[in-house]
Amino acid sequence: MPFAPPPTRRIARWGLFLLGLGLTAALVGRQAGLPEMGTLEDKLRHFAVHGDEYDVIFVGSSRIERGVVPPVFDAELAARGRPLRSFNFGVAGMEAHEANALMRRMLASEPARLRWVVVELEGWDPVLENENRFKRRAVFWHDAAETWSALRSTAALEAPLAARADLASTHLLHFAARLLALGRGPDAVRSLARTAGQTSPDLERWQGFKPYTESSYRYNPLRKRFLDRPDDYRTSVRRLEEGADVAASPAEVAAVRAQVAMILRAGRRSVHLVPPSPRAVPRLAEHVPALLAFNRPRDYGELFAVDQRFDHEHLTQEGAERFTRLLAARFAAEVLGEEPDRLAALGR
Amino acid sequence: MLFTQPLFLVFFAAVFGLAWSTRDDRRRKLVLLAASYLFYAAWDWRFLSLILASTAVDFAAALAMERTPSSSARKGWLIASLTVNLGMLAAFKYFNFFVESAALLLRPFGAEIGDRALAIVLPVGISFFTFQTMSYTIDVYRGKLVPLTSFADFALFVSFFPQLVAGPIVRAAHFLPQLARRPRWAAIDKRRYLALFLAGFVKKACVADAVAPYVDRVFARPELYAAAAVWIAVLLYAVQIYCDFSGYTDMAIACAGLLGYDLGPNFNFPYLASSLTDFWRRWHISLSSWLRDYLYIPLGGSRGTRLFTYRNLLLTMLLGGLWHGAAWTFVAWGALHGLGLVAHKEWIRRTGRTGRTGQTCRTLRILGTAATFYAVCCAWIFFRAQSFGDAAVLLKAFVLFDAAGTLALEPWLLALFAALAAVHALASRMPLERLVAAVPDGLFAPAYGVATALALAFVPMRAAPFIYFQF
Repeated sequence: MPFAPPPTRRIARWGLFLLGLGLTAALVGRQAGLPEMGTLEDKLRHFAVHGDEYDVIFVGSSRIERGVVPPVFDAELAARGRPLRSFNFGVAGMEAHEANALMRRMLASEPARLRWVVVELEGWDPVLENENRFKRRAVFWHDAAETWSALRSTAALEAPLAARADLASTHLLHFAARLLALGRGPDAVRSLARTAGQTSPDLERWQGFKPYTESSYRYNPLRKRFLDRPDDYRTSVRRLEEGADVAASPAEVAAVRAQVAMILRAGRRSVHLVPPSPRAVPRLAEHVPALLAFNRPRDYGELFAVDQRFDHEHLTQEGAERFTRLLAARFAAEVLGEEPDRLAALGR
Repeated sequence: MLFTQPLFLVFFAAVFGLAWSTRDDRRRKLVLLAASYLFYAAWDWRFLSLILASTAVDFAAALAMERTPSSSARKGWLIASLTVNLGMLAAFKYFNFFVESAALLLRPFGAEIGDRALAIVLPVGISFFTFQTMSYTIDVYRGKLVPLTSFADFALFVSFFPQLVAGPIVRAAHFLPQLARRPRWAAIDKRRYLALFLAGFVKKACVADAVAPYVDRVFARPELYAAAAVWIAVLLYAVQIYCDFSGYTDMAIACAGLLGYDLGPNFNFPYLASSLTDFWRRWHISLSSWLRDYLYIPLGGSRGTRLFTYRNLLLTMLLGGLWHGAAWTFVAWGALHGLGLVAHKEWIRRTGRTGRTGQTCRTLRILGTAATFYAVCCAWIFFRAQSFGDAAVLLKAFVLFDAAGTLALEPWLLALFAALAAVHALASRMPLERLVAAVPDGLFAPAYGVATALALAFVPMRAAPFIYFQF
């Protein structure tokens, strides 16, 4: 182009521009910290102080947060002569990619005693619903590794090319938004004024488990719908009994293998968990070192009984404690008593 | 495709590269024309036919006017052009308004005309490009302009994408001479336009979009809010509409400037105006000067008795209000401004004070600025309210501090308003050109990088469309 300045000057200007942009965005992103995600900030703050006290963490959605009771889990293991301490890192709405991004962050802090990371096994759905697009949470998990994984899943989707291209560009824009700390300025400013707060006593007491409150039992619309239409739930459970697990896509296989590898690289062991819920999960058992699946109404009928359920997806506190006891029993038998060479045999 | 979206940056980068790498000026303009049509088609390709129709009719009418010696024939061509343009506006923008108003008017007399409203989609930017083309044919009719012989040039004037959907309403006399010669890259103040684009982006994305949720909350259910909350919401709406529209304008001027074309000014710190007359010299300058030249002056302007002048002012502002939107609340907004302008003219006549610097003491000027801003805010209530009922509730709270509601807005918003007002005042003393010129050459690129990152950090996650796109 005849108008252009010499190439070296042009490159230098672009370089300086990108340097200013990148450094500032990195500073803002660092200062802003994590976006607000339910109880996560509280849990991270607790973990920053007490992370070295835990041997086991549970990561996943509200099915984990409302379903696994660490004090019960610890007591059950102690009764079996394995005194371990666990923490529930479940967060409402957390999906597989988000859990990965969170684990990467947590494992980087190298908690001294942590040995087992128990992760909820979920589908790796790359589709971002419209209402979630460009929400801080969605931007948060788009680090390089998760964006790449989402792009691979997108490519493997059975959808028209235009739809896949749109979804892929959306993931790339989320990645760019994360890189540029898009919209994180207010969080950065707020964090300047924030003092290190105390975590709630309930969080300490329940080690991350979040019991439903009295008012939830009375006013929660999901519970109301569940109680009004129990037959809908029973139909889902029947469908689950007939075998509702779905085939895993190659992208999902790759994603779960990457997840396991990430945990192993950090020197911890991964255990995958399917909580008792009538939702379909991909068949990935042969790709993970350990799988504790409770989505079998024939074997765990008591966890699917209507009186043990808070709603379609979640357990009542009584149900959660029952589930946790069963989980602890299987954990002791299958994970703590695992053959030492199993991990090596899986080649990871 | 909003100026604040990444897709626009990709689009603009492609157009910019193509335009400046095309050596032949005719081809360069064709590139810009194709890009402009593509830009418009991204909103709704069906309405491209409207732009094309308007362009073809006005191009042909202007040539026909030039070629005919008969003044009645010239007038006929002008009327044909105006009929097509105003007809399009009437059909697409005002049809339902006229039908509903007629139904309302006839109901007391027992006449029911039923529900004849149509599901008409308003073509984005129709008010802007029709006014732009109308100014061309009127100027040709008046003999102020020689009609263009190149259809492509005229089409580019009508559809040039930076100003197509929300102005500025560029006059043919200002823009067409620029199309006659190839812009020179060396003559372009790149730094100024880059800074202007970023300033516009900050105004729109970081300020207007950030305050919008608070404003929307109060204007959606004003009866629920306490007077203090209404005050905050109205003040913030004044901020929102200014930052939204002038932010868009800044980005439009910057994009056009980087392509080598000047669109002319559209805002000049309007909230520092010391009177309503002054306000209209600073707010949406391209529209106010259009209304002055093509409506107020042809109506007779101030060439007549005082009452005749006041009538012309009122008519101009009423139609100016209606131009903004097909609703009586917009007409009321125009009427309030018309009455304000009449009152100011009357004040000048009685006191001999014009309010201009040097003629009025500083205290009086500050009082004038505060009073003007307050009056403008009162009028904004009608501009934004969804009904006259809502406007009455808001006005009662804003003027009389009387509200039945109890809900509050966050008090820090008032501090935000004060900070933004201070920035507005400071910026008027330190124009962007001077600020940019003060940055050493080697520091501009990294400083621009830092400023861009900071701007992006304060962008709300979801962009809202520009307010003036609906007009």
